Amino acid sequence: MSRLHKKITISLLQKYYIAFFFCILFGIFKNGLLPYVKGYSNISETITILILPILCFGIGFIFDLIFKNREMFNNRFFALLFLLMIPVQSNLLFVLLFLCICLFLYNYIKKWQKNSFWNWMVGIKLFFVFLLISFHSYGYENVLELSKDFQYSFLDSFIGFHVSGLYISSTMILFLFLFIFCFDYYYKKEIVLYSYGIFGISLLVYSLLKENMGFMLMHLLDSNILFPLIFIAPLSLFSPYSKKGKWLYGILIGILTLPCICLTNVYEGTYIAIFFVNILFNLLNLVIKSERNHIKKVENE
Amino acid sequence: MKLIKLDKNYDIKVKSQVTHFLTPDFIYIPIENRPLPFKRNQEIKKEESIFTDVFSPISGNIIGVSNGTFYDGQTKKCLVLKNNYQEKVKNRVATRKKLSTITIENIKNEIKRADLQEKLLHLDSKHLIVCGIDEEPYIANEVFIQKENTKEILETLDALLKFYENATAHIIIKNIDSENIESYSNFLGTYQNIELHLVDDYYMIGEEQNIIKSLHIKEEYIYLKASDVYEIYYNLKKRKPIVEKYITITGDGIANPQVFAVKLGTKLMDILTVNYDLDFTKYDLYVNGLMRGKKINIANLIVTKEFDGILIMNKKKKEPKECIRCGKCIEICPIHSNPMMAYLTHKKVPCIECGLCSYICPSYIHLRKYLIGDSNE
Repeated sequence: MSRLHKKITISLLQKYYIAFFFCILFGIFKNGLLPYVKGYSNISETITILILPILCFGIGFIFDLIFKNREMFNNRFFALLFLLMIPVQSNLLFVLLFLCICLFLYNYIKKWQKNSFWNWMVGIKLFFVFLLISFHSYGYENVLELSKDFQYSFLDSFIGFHVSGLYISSTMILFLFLFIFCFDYYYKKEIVLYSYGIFGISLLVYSLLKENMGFMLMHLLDSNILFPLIFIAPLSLFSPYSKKGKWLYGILIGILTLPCICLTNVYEGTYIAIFFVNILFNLLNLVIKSERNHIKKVENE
Repeated sequence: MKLIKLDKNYDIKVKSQVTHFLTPDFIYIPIENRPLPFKRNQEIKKEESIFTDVFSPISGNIIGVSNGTFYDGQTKKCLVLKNNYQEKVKNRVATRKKLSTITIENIKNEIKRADLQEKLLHLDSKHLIVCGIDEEPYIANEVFIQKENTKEILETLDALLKFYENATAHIIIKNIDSENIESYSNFLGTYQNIELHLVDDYYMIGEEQNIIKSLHIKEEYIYLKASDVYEIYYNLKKRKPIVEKYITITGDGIANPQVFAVKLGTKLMDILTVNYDLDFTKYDLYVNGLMRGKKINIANLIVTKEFDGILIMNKKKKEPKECIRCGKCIEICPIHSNPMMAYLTHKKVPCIECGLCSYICPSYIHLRKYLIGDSNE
């Protein structure tokens, strides 16, 4: 395999892993070390948060070995992605069990779903949240936040000291990696930029109407909104591959995110928006197909 | 069409001089279901016509028929000629003293290649475009033809221009081709109607449509490669068919990449065994380049007009992975085809075999193979 290929110094997947590493590091600090130092949690809870990423990666690795996975976005990647977005108050044993079931199903389903519109990462996330709500163990506040002893400033929110998923509370880290990803040739940056831009505009209009600019700032810097926009919406496997498709996909997610947040009043507004737009995924690719046929026709003439 | 710069390995450089390999022991001439015009052991003289527009590159005896592989991987029956190293010529023709004296009749009678003759007879053309660019990275045949024959190319163009009213000749070379820029600059002053155009080092910049676009040409034109012009020169000046060719043997697997002047019909293995002491099974061998070329068995590979060279590359461990549907292959395709669909659904889609989809793929999938459905890939 030595044909001429575009030089890739650090692949998109490696960049994803580096981003995950920093997110996890901050998550361990915020949800594990800090509550422990302040006396809000015990050592076992802290160690659990520390070893959970290793366990998830290990499970993914075992699944890769069993199913002889040679994909770029493999089980290890999806296991870590799933771990990053789970709520803080989830039962961690339940997380591991659910992850195993999901990876098992995914490895079987993917054989038949090559051109499917189903974004299984978002679907899994929403189903998991639904299960957590059913079991009354749903919540994004850690023990420190639950104590209500702290008031968060704007800067705190930006750095990551605010209510969010187990490992994804740092908006600063997310923005930093968005910036790095934007220079990657294979990252579908259009989707993120359009969706975030449109979401920002709609948020501004909504906040002006409500005369509550704090609402806008809070949501613009919310890592629960940013994470799916940066890491899940542009995932190559579940997003349109054509230029126009990417624009439309991003714009639609941007438009739908705000109503989803306002109407459902849950942290998963962006996931729901992505889930709905994903139903149009195949349709978007079809639109582009006909556009290409048109180009060919013109060329022939 | 968006042109891109390829990420090349600039450490792979060919030797600055052409190496000559003009006395092969055997020559292989494709028969292609044509009746054999000669008998076994019959002597054939150099430049003697064997089939229509096929001439013997050497003088020697027919020793039989053997199988030969061609640049596209096809195996055909070939007539085998044993060289007697005498270079006997059937009809010795005097070299034309001045090319400026040629007439249209000379073009009709002396240009051996029918397509070239047809092109030149478009007398209402206003532009004579000469592309001196090798599209394939690491192949340098056109560059060396110009380097070795700058004067001849200019002389031919000057002679041809008189047939086209108010026509201009444009020579297109890459701006990184410093040696040819220098050699053209030394002679161009004496030719008023010949212009030199420098273009950036983009892949496919030398394609006819891209050159026409960059030169903003709207009138009738004739598009020729530098090697075509040299062939015209050879036909008109020496009044002989061209029986030699430049080929490039390069790659990161060999220490001394070179451009060779060889006789048409030479077996590639003969050139390789004389010049390189290598175990070729340890390398990836690509015929006609890394972008458009093919990986074929070279044991019986014969040098033909379509053969440009061979790349001897070190084997790398980059295994193809599953498609991640990034869509870059669709974005980069010059004809707006859908290589990804060809890979996912195994349906044939239109393809010009530029290899850009395979080049850009982050999963290292050899998409061209699926596009053209070629088992030789």
